Amino acid sequence: MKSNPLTRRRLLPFAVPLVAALALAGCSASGTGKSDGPVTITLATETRFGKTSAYQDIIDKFNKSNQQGITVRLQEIPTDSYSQTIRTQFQAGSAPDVVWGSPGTGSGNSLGVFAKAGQLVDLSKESWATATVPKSAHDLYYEGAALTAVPVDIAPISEVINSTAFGSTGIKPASTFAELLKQCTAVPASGGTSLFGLAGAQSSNTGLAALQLAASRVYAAQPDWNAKRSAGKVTFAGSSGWKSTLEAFVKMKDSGCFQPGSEGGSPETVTPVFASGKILSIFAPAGIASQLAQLAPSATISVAALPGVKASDTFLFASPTNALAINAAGKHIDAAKALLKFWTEPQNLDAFAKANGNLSLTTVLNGSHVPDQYASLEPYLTNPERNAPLPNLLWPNASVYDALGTGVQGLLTGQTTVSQVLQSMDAAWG
Amino acid sequence: MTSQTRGVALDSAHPTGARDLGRAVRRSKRAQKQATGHRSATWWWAAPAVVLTIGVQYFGVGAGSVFAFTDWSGLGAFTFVGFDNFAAAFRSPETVQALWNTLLLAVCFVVLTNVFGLGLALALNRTLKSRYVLRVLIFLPVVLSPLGVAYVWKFIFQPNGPLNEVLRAVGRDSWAVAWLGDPHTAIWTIVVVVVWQNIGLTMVIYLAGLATVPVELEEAAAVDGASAWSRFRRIVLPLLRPTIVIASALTLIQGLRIFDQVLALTGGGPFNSTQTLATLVYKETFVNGRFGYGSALSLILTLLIVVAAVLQVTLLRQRED
Repeated sequence: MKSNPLTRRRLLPFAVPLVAALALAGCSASGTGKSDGPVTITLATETRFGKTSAYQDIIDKFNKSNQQGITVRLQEIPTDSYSQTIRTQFQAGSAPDVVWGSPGTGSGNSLGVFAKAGQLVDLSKESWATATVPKSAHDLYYEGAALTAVPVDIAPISEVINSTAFGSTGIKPASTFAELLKQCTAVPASGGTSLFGLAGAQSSNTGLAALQLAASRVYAAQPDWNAKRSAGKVTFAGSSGWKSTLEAFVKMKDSGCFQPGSEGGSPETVTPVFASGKILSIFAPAGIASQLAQLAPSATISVAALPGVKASDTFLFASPTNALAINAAGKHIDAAKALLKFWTEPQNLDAFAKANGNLSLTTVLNGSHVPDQYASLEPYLTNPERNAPLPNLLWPNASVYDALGTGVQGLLTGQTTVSQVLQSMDAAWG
Repeated sequence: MTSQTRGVALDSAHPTGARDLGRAVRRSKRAQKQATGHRSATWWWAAPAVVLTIGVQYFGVGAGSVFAFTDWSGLGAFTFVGFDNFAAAFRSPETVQALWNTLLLAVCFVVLTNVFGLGLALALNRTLKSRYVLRVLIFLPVVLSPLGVAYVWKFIFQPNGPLNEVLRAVGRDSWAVAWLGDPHTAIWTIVVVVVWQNIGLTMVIYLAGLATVPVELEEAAAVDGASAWSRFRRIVLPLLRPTIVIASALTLIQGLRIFDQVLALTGGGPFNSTQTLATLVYKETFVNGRFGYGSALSLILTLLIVVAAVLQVTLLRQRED
C-alpha cells in the first residue's frame, strides 16, 4: 500500500503507543502470520438485511471442509458505511483479507478503485479465477492485464412483478413500450394504484429505472457505448439513445405509470403496497423477488424484462455485480486464495447463487439450466447478444450514476430537463 | 521636581512612613514574583490539555484541510491541484444550491428556535402551575437522537403517512402532498423538524436568563402602570441581551451544520432541493469518493460558520454596548 511518508511520520507518535496497547490487550489473535499453520482470515461484506447471509453459508462449508487449518470469519459492515469503512481500513493498512464489492469504478463500493491504488492481489495467474469471469464482464474485472476480483453470482436487473395482481387486473406484462404506457392508464382504472412503484426519494432507485430504459435504447444497439464514451467519441448529451431513454421516463411519468407521490416514495412505502397487489411492479434486482415473496405469501412474485420500443429491442442487464477480492497487504494471501478457489467451484457457485437469490455463474459460463424463478428471462440470459453487465459499473466514478439518479428525480418533479440531466452526466464523467 | 527628589524629601520628612513604604515595595515585589510563579505553574499544569486539544482538534482539522488542495480519492497517492477544488465548487450549481439551502435553514433555525424558545420561556417562567411538567415535556425532544426523531417525522410526512391521512379525513385532499418529495415543501418539513426538536434547548437557555431578571424591577414597573409589553421591552429584553447573544450564536452554529435530519428525511433531494453543505460534503467525500473536493467543501463550510458566528456576536455586542 502506498502512503504519504509525511503522514506516516506524523502518525508514528500515536501509532506506537496504540500498537503497544493493542498488543497488551491481546488483540492480535487473527492468525499466526505463517502460511502453513492454522490461520484465521476475515471476509467483509455489507450487512444482509433480515436474512442469513449467503456468504456465511459458503464460509461455514469452507471452514468445515478445508484441510489447511484455515478459518474464515465473516465481518458484516452496515450498508451505508461499508465503502467508507473499507476505504479507511485500506488506507490504514488494516483491511480484511477478502473484501466484497462491485467490479469496475462506477459505484460507491467499486473494487476497481482499490485495484488502481495497487491494493488488491492480481489473480490473473490463477486459472480458477480467470475461468470465472464471463467474457462480457472482462473489462469490469481486469485492470490492464491484472485480474482484480472474482465474480460470485449474476444479478439480473429486471422488473419484479406481482403476478397475482397482474392476473386480477386482467393484463400481462407488456412486450412493447407502447403497450406498457397503455397499461399505465389501465391499472388505476381497474382499482389498482399504479403499474410501477418508484422509490423516487432514492436516487439509486430512479437511476436504476433509467438504466433499465437505457438497456434497449442505448446498449442493445451499442454494447460498446461506454468504451466509445471513454474514448470521447460520444457523449450523453449528444446521444439520441440516452435522450430517448430520459424522454421515455418522462412519458411514463406523464402516463401515470408511477404511484401518486412517487417523488417522495421510498422502499419502505412502496414495498407494502406492492405486496398488497395495488402496485403491480417495481424496478429492482431480480434477486429481491424471493424476499418480497415472503412479504406476500398469498401472491406469486416473479420477474420480467422491461420491454424495449419493439419486443426485439428488449435487452437485459445481467450483472456479475457481487465480487470478492483479496487484500494485497493481507498476511494470509494463500489462505484467501484457497477460499476463493473453493468458492468458484461450480457446486459452490450454484449453492451461493441460490442462497443469495441470484443466478449462478455456471448458467453463463457452462450454459447450465436457468432456474424456474427466472424462466421469463431465459431468452435474454441464454443469448449473449441480449444481455450485458450493468453499464454504470464501468463508468469512471460514482458521480455519473449519482448525476443520473438525481437528474431523474428532477425530471419527476419537473425541476430539470432531459438535456440538463445528460449534460450533468457528461460533466460528472470528467 | 523629579520622582527621585520627591522620594528623598519624603524619606527625610517622614522616616517611619518611608520604612513602611520600603517594606510595602518589597512585599509587592515578592507577591509579584509569587504571582509570576503561580502563572507559570498554571501553564505547566494546563500544557498537556492544551497540547492534546491543539494536536487532536486543531492539528487534525489543519492537516485535513491540506487535502482541499489535492485530488485525493481517499486511497493511494494524490497531487496538489491548487484552488481547483474551490473553483469547481463555486462553478457547480449543486454547491451554490447547497450554500443557499444551508443559509436558509440556518436563518430559519435561528429565528424560529429563538422566538419560540423565548416565548415558551416567558410563558413557563413563573406563574403557571404546571410549568415544571411542561418544561420537561418541551425539553424532552432535545435529548432524543436527531436521527431517531427524523425517522419518526419521515413516517409522519410519507405520502400515505398520518399527516396526509388526517388531511384527507378532514376533506383537505388537495393539501395532502408528498411533503418530502415535493421541492416546494421538502425544505420546510426539515425546518419544522429541526425547530421542533431544538425549541426546548433555547427555552432552557432563556429560562436561565430570565432567572437573572430582578422581580422587583418588573413589580415596580407594574405598580407604575407599565403594560406587560412595555415591561418586556424596556426591562426584560435589555437584561436578556447577553442570553440572546449566547442562544443565537449557538443556534446559528447548529443551524449551519444541520446534517442528520436532512440525511434521514430527504437525503438532500429531491434534485438537491434540500442539499446542504454538510450533506454535500458527506456525499462527495464518502459516497462519490472525492476526498479532495469534499475537503474543500468542508473548509468552505467551516469558514462560513466562523465568519457568521463572529459577525453575529460582534453585531449583537455592539447593540448591547
